Amino acid sequence: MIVIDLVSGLSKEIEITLVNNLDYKSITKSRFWFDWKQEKDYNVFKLCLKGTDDILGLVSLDIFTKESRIEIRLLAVSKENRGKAKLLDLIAGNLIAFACIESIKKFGEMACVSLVPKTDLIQYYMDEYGMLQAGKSLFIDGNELLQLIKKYDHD
Amino acid sequence: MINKENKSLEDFKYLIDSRDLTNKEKAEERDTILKARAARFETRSDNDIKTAKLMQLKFQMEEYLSSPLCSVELSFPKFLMTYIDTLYEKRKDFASDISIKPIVLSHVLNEHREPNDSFLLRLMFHSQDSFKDLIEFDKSLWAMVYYQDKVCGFLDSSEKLGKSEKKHVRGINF
Repeated sequence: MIVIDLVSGLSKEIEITLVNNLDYKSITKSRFWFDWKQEKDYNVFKLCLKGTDDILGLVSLDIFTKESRIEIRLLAVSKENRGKAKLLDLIAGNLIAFACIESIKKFGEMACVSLVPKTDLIQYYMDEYGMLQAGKSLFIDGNELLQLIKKYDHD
Repeated sequence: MINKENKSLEDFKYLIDSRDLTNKEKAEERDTILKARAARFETRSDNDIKTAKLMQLKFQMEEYLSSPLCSVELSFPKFLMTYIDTLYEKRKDFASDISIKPIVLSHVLNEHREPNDSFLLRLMFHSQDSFKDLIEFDKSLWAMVYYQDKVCGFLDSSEKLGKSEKKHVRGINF
């Protein structure tokens, strides 16, 4: 998986791994918006450039095994990589695709990922990630989920 | 929770918070999503199901190789069985496609025989074709899984045999 350095235009390899207890010291609210310590009971993953330990994005996943579904509870891109002046692109997309990979790894053809978006961004997530609306939630499964993985799972 | 007044809409594209629902709302959402998915699943093609199963296999193989834990159970025959059963109705058809006897394949799947180099190479070429239009697949994953099984097996037996073998060794202390 890769992100794009918007200054140089070059792609950079990333890795997404489980957050450990020591990481929480460097995960501040000012850089990652939420209080991530509240997520310790869930599956929290960090995105870093390969071979570095600077965290650029975080995602917290809740796994509903009986429903073959993973919910993105929380996701945050680091402050310097948000908005129009961001330095690196594709961090959020990689974290969403990672949730899809975890779901397909566990549930195969039944895999599904859901999230609850801000109302104003429903259309954005549908256009950008191929998600579908169900109530207040958005979800992705089937061919759309496979396509999203294909889009992001490459070096 | 997100302070909506302090953030622009653009910033929220990089922040997701799904926690702000009551238990009642969560239950309603779960039912709505399940209903929507069930309707979609009925129209899913066999090809999409096969693709999903092959992707699952690839990611499970990658996870097995990146895990620091060794399992006593062999993973190679298990992954191979999933691969064949996803693509073929009859295993003998796979045997035919890689030009080996069905009995040889059966022995490998049932752990009565080790796959030789030819078997591994043919399997690698076969999977290269199967995954070509689906997703990036490193065909050497098969060899890596096979040898990871061997390493795990050796480490398991060395635990048991270690003491009896150690008495035959005289080391050098610095």
